[in-house]
Amino acid sequence: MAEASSSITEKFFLTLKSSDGDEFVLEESIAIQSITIKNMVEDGCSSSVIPLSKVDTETLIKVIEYMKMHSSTSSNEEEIENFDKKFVSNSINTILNILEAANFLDINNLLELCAEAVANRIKNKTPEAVRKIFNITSDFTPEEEAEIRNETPWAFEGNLDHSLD
Amino acid sequence: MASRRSSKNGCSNLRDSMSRNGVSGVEETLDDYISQLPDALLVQILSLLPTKDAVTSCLLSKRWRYLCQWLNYAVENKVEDVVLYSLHEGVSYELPLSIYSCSSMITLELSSWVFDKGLVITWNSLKSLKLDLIGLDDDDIVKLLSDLGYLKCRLVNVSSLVTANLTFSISCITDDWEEDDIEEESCRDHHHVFRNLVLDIFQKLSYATELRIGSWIAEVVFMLQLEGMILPELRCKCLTLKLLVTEYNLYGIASLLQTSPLLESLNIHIKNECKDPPCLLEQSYFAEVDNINLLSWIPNTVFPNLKNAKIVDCLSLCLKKWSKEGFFKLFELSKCLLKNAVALQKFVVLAKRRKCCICSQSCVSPHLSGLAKKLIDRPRSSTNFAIIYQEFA
Repeated sequence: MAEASSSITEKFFLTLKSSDGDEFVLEESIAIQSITIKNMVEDGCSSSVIPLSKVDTETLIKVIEYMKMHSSTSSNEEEIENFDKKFVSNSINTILNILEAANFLDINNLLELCAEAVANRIKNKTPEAVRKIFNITSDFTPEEEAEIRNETPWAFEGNLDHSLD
Repeated sequence: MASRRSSKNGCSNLRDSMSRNGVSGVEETLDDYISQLPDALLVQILSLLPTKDAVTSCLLSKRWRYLCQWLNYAVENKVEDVVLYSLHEGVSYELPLSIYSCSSMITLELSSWVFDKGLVITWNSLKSLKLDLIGLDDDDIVKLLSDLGYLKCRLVNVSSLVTANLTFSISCITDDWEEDDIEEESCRDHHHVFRNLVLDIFQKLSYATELRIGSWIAEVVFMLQLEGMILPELRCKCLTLKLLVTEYNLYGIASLLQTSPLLESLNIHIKNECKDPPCLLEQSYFAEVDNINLLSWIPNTVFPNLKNAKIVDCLSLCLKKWSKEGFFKLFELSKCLLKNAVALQKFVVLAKRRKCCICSQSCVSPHLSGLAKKLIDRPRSSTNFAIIYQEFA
């Protein structure tokens, strides 16, 4: 009896629409890991399609993949851990896109995961290497740059990593 | 075909292809994507970085520099854990000004920094402070600890400070100078200041339930007692000694045990330490040990709540060469515990068997098992307890 009733339990589905116009149908229990979506559901705005104008299709696929893994009761801690490890090995631009989406969707653990992945790419690198990794153009004059180095000389010494890994 | 047609076509198509480039071509066109993130996200990333890397990143561009006024920003935004390492050996830099007034810090680790004496420290929330290679003279230490002491006092009053690690040592000024250059008076003053400091620390830690004590503190406690000072009663439930029990710290340890009636667990982590030899003044105190024994030092003391005693070998020395004398005082202390701990349940001796880098064999001290064996026959006041000897790798 107990089994029968649990299998009848009604599942609600939501439709998420990416900025590229692609629609994804997702179980509500999975989607509400996003506090933004949860609030919309609670406010009753979810009867139709939920437009996510700030998230493109490629990013949304990744986010949904993450939410599915992290909500599924069947995946154990080890699986989740492995998934996260693989997840952060996405290209840095993909990670940045997901980070921004996680911020918009308010999915805290995804935000933390991505922020940490970005931080790890900066850690112990020379400013030059970080600029290359993220394509940051320096807008300092050589004089300004020298001045900054002088202000906090301890920050620019030691065995800094020049590689772009 | 399609692309050739669009390039020949009019304005609208051109704009269309440009905007498409902007969306899907992020990777190809190598935009500075990270700098387009909102400030809050960049600051979150910066906050995950060790302070050094966060400061390094201020050289990336003006936008980053603005964000990396971060140290200040962090201070304003109630940063809780700060680790500042200066890597350049032998050179110390001045501590960033904002750190002095950062009252949100809970933990702070500093290595190779110089304090500016003129500044007031307001670390109201600090619970853990680790200083390494910090150039401090007498005045600095007194100031640092008195500034902190005031704050700790407040913490203790709200019972927030529950564990304290007192494994530091302060060298006598005579260590740094030719002894002739130091007047006896200044050495005496020096020790006087430190003894009061230690007394003060114990007063402020009287609510802490977990204490870790090193040899230096135990020695100072011994000297305090010789001076007739009375230690405050401690609420400590778990006391960990990180030291070699010697005749100079044994009585300090005994006094600490005596003043901790709530103590339930005592751990003795046997550790070898590099210590300066005692100065003349210290030697004059230490000479007293010849006239003392443990029984007369803490007469009629019982340890009413002590349930677990544990001796753990944490030495990195070659244990085979470790002399029997090194255990003599430990044995004396152990005997005293057995005799006076009425509720003792377990007395554990853990000996480490390991590949020794000195004799290049797997060595374990024969003295620890000997100690456990000898204790079996000693008088005891608890009726229901076990002595356990274990070797671990």
